[in-house]
Amino acid sequence: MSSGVGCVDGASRERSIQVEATLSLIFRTQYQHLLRFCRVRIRSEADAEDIVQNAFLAARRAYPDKKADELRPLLFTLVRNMAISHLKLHWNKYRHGEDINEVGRGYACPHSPTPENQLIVTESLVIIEEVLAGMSARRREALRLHRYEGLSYEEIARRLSVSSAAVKKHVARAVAEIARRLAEAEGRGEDPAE
Amino acid sequence: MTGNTTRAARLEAAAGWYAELQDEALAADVWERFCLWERDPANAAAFREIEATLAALDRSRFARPKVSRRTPQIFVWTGMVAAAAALAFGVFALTQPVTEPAPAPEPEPQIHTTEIGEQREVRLADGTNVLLNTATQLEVAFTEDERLVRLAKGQALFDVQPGDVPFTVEAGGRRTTALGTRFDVYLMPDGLAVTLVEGVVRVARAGTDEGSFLAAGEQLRVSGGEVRVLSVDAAAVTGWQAGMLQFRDAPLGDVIAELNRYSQVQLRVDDEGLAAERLSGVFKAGDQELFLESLVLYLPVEVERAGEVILVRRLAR
Repeated sequence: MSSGVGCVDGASRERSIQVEATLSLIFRTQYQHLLRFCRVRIRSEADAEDIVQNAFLAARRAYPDKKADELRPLLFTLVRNMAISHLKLHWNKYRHGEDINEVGRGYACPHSPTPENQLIVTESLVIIEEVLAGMSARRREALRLHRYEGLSYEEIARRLSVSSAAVKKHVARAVAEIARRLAEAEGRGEDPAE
Repeated sequence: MTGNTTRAARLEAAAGWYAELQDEALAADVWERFCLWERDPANAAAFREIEATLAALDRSRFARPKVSRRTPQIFVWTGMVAAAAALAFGVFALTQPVTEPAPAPEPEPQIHTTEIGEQREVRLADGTNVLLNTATQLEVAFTEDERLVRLAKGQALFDVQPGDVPFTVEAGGRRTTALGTRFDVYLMPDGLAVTLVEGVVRVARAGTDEGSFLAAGEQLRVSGGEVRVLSVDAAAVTGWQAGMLQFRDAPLGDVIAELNRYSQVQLRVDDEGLAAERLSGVFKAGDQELFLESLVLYLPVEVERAGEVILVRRLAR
């Protein structure tokens, strides 16, 4: 399924050589930056690339005469909104019983552990379950709705009758707690950068 | 232990950034601030660790979708909402059980409604789950011989609990009967659409026995006395349950009419040529501003706000 948020068909819009030059300048300086942003939001590298490229095409079509620095915030907004739609669609497909491996295919960490790190993976899964079990029901549910139901903070807030700032805090704390326990278990107490 | 403390603090900050960056309304300057923060290699390492943590979480059982929509999960769920509400008001009546047993079927019809922009999941006495879409009214009138519900207005997605007694949805002069299946009934201002997601249903004119059987992925449409069965993308038709509306090569006028079902804020296009412009896309139900943000990037249009009405018109050259 296409990840583009809205590709208007019909009359092609006028372009000028100057616009091409402007865009290719932004393209060079902004592409990696926007791709990185998109990857933080969605979990598939290939889809992230599609989204960023579509954003550039859309910006070119809609604003043939805007300057580079005017386009920058527009591109950011476009990528952000396209990522939201992509995630919603992704989870929608997920709910319709799509193979879980199919969903996971594009993840940053591939699901094909070698025999020796298989053990580590199993161990970390046990730890994750422990941490989740010790979490407050509301925090656990906030994390699940956020990460696995594709709901926005606002939607989760409405469901759990809390503020969306509280939902964001729950998600941050839940993730931090799991990360901390995994780090402790790996026995690497030291700061990774030191 | 200072190493540990520093590391824990860094992980906490990194997790905070993760949560911040997922905000749907994330502003560009927050992203820029994150980039500055991440320039510190220790911060960047902590953020990678958070990403690895999430990748591990994604592989856990927790990440699996709930196995069946028919498990009694919904009761736990309502209980949680009640608990959350109680906490929000600062009162928690310990004597009152949070999860109440399912009420016995009542002879009086029960009525479930949603407001504009609201969606609600309702579990009926037989275990059937119904997801009500925006501006919907559903009346439940179960008897010993029939599980009868009437869709008075709006749209609902039925996930029917298998049972011996037929489950029937009455809407727009048609009866859709199922034994255990998943289907969507939409009572439109000018007709009716029944879409089957899985299983088999029979749609008959009320009061008769003649009817059509639908297979998964088929939609029966009734408009102006005419009945047609179309092949549709059931996932797209039921996309509203995830709060997303999908359009493929649809006229702007139709897209706006559909989006307007979910919001008090009404969009309007007066220019017929503009209303006929075709577009494809996936848009969030109830977020007219988000749609407009995208729209102005695709079509040469501008918007004019007047209270709860937003006029979309061609950009003046």
